[in-house]
Amino acid sequence: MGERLFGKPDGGSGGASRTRTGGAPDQNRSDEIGGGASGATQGRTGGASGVLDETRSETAPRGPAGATAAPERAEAPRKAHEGRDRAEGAPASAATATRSGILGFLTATRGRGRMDWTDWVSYAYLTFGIFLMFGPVVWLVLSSFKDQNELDRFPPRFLPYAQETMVVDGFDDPLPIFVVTEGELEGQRVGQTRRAAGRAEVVTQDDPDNRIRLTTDQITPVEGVAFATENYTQLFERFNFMQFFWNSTFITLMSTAIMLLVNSMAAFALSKYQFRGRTSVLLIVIGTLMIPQTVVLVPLFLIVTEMGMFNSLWGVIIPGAATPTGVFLLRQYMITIPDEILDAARMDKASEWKIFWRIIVPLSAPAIAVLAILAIMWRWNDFLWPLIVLTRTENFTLQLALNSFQGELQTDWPSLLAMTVLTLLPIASVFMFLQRYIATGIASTGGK
Amino acid sequence: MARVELNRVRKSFGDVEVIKGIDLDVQHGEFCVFVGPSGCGKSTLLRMISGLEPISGGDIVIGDEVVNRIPAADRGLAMVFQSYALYPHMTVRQNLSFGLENTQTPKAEIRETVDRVARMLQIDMLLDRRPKDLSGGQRQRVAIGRAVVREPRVFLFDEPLSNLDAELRVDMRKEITALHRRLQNTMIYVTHDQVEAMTMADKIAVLRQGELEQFGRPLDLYNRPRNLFVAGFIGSPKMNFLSGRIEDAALRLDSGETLSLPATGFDLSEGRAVTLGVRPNHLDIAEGGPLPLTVSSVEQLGGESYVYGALSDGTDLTLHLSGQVGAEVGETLHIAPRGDEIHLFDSDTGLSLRRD
Amino acid sequence: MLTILNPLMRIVEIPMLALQRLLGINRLAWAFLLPNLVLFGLFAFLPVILNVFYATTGSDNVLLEARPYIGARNFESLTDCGNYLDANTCREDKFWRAVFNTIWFVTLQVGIMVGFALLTAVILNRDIRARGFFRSVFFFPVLLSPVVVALIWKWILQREGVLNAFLDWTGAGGINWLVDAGWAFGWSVFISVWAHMGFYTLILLAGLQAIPRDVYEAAEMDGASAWRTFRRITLPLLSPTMLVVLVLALIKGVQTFDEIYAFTGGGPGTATTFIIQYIYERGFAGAPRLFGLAAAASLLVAGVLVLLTLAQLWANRRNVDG
Repeated sequence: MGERLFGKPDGGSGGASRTRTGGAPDQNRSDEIGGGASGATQGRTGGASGVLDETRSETAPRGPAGATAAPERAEAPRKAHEGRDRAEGAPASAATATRSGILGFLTATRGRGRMDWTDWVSYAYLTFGIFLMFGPVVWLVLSSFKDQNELDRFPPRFLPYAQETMVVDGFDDPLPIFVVTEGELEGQRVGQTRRAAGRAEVVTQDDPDNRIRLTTDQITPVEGVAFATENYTQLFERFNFMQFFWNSTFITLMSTAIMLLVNSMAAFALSKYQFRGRTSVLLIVIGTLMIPQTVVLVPLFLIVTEMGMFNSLWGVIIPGAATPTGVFLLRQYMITIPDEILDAARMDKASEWKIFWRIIVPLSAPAIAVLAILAIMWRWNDFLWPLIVLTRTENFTLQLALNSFQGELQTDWPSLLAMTVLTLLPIASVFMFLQRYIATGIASTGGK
Repeated sequence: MARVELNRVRKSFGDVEVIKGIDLDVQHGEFCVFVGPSGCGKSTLLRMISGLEPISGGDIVIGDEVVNRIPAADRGLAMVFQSYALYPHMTVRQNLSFGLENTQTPKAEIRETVDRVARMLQIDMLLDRRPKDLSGGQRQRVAIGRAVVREPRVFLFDEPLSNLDAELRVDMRKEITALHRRLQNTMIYVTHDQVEAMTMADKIAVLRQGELEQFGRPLDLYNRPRNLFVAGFIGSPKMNFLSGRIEDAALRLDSGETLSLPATGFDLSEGRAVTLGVRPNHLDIAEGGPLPLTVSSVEQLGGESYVYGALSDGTDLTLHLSGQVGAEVGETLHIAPRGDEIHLFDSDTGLSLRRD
Repeated sequence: MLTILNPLMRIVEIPMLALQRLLGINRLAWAFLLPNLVLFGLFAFLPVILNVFYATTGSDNVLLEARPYIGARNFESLTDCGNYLDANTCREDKFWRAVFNTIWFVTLQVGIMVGFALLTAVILNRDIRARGFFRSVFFFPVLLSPVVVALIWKWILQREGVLNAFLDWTGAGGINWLVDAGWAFGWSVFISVWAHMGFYTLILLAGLQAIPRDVYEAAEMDGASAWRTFRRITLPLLSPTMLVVLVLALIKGVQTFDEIYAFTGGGPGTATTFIIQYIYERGFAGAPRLFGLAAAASLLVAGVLVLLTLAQLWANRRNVDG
């Protein structure tokens, strides 16, 4: 419930009269959500976009009215196209070519082809950005594949290493491999069988019965890049990881589904019906925006307890579904669906519920998809409220489990790191495929 | 029998009365056109008949039944919308089937009906496409098809051709007329284009500001307009109007000239302020004609010609002549109304002075 | 995907159709609104009213009937201070520490974050290659869960972590970051900026892209210098968006809890304990459970948030109108 609406929530009744003159968020909404098809272009303002962008255009939202767009709806995509053309710029224009470096730096233009110092500064900043933003995550992932020995090592090494081993006849376990650095065996690979007090007993592969004694400074370990996947596998063996994963998944999916249904019904009522009290309802919904869950924790706790949902997943699901953001997001989109389509359906003897289900919901699919992704993200990442409601370990979500284990397992970094990666993974993969939608949706709702 | 009868039908939005008590009777099988300038209430009236817009007063009768309280879906009507209002997420076939599915028609029957109608409207090869892949004319046909499959008692058309380009509009006009001949259904058609009205209608209802100005056959409206508004609205180019006064059973125009009037047919009380209406094609250039016209421009189309000019008091006149004329800009022509082809209206009330 | 729900929807249609017959089309809207209003009522409005009740009653029992009315005593406890600028002189010193921490945190975090977001947005708005990719780079931490963010950085900052290794290598020597109060606070600000900056960058970038290019060309024809163009054209035209971003960042900043709680647990001591954590600890984590104090503090926070939200709505309106 902490989510809030970013854009102007359009409290009045004449919702369709919004203008594009203003700043970012509303423009974003009218172009990418309301304007539908234009979403494909708006975000891709860059001349050369990343790979992600290229593939995304196919999944971009379409306008609800599609072919039968009313004239004013046709407006938005066209404007977005103009905007895109402008942003891609006409590099050949004389004005741009003569622009000074600093001016270019601050005003978003640059003659193409030649790099000046402002470009170098920009790219340096961006490269540093990659390092700062991706670096920690990459480090986390690499670390999660290191075994305990490697994790304890200081200073740490970049890639996960582990000592190589060999199987020698006569020994049940594989022996760690060393290379002899001095003496007559210099350069040979040997397997260490025992080590104590500065001395090591080794054997060679060819002659396993001949135990050779060396001092430890005569040998160095042979190491290779090795991914300690047991960090992951033991999560499933030692901890109830699947239970946490299931709890998180169940909460996320149920809460999202309920929220989508309930919000889209309300948005439909608020966008397509003229009834007394509509403005009041809109005001009420705006009111809920002002009250994030964080400031009503105590009474919310009572209500959830009284309803018997304390220490139940439903205690997280139901309050989580009472999120007003979706009402605005969907209403804004549904307003753009021409009323004539509804009238046509009424003439076709469709009941109002059927109009909702067969016409409005399919036509709002792009907006619903955006909302669904946002809701999944919010619920998956939820922390404070589950922390209060779910106190028994078997009810923990991944986030709670992760947080509580970082206390208990302070020294067990291998498990903790692997678990962090697995918690991050679903969101990261969603992000890879749907980054466009997420960015659009967040920009238009103000995120969580 | 699907007669449509309106009895003192009214509609208000708040304090604003947009339909001010209209009586109308559309017979079974008639093609009736509502025409009028934008904002005259014609579309509202159509939506009131459809049931999409509740009425504020009066009765609407369809068939023999007062339908005031019957919801749109149950009135047995079908409507073609200005924007076509096709369901964008459905294929053409699904668009056509949707209404039948809602009435629990068996699947096989739906299929058969949709195929038949699609063939009739020549959209059978488009059945698997979505509306966005269709041209304007094709969408129009689908929208009509969606109405036809329902086999409604009455078809309603809300300016269906206004989104098409001129050429296509002429074609579709003919097709809708042909459809009407074929189906023999009652159809009510709203347009702001009087040419559409004249070419398609059995009966035309001219509306202005929520009131019915005249209801009748197209040529009756053309030949015997009941008032100045209808006279000016029907016919292209517009009828010329000259104001004057009756003196000695003749018309003395404000510009000074005197026109003799036919002895019968009009109510000519002495001294009455009247407006003379003459259609541009009922004016001839005549040696010694009573009206001196200073030519301001001439359009020669080859087979016909338009001459524009003004009388001495500045009143504009338009002549529509067949063939080619030798008039020059700046020249003064003498013109005369042809025989009895004139209309006289009371200048104060706007009503025709024709005796019926 | 939706077709699997169709049978269910057909069942729902039966009562909805009956309601439609009964109410008429326009009043049916209430039937569509009902589930949502019930949810909002139960989990948003009722809690607000109950919050006032809790704030004016005592006892560690959560049940309403077991709570005696004590008037403004909870607020008095919260505000009972010898010197308001010194938390040590207050009865609820933890509350005041949390308040001061939050004020400091929000000031630093919002200032730094919005500054860097603006810088990043300006750079991303340039004619750079692979803009979509770079935008994603700055944006993606927004999606990470607070606990994950906290653990990622804890791992880097731990005593024998990679940062200390780097400092060792440079000869600067390692620091036990999260044990030192000042460093812990600083890193809290840092990871908060790290995690949320991308979101504001995205909004500011959209704002920059909404500024028409011909305005810049006109400024150039007028011979404006680069810095002047930025100061007199870009910033004023971006100011509505900036305002929205600032207010929004403030609203979120005040509610900071998750990632810092997982990161430092509020410590060392109370160095990184913020107001929401205070509410959480008083109401749910400690014994006895002081629901009254928690609710009273909640009301104060809610007051601040309502003011900020109204400012946001106002900013948005300006944004749209102007």
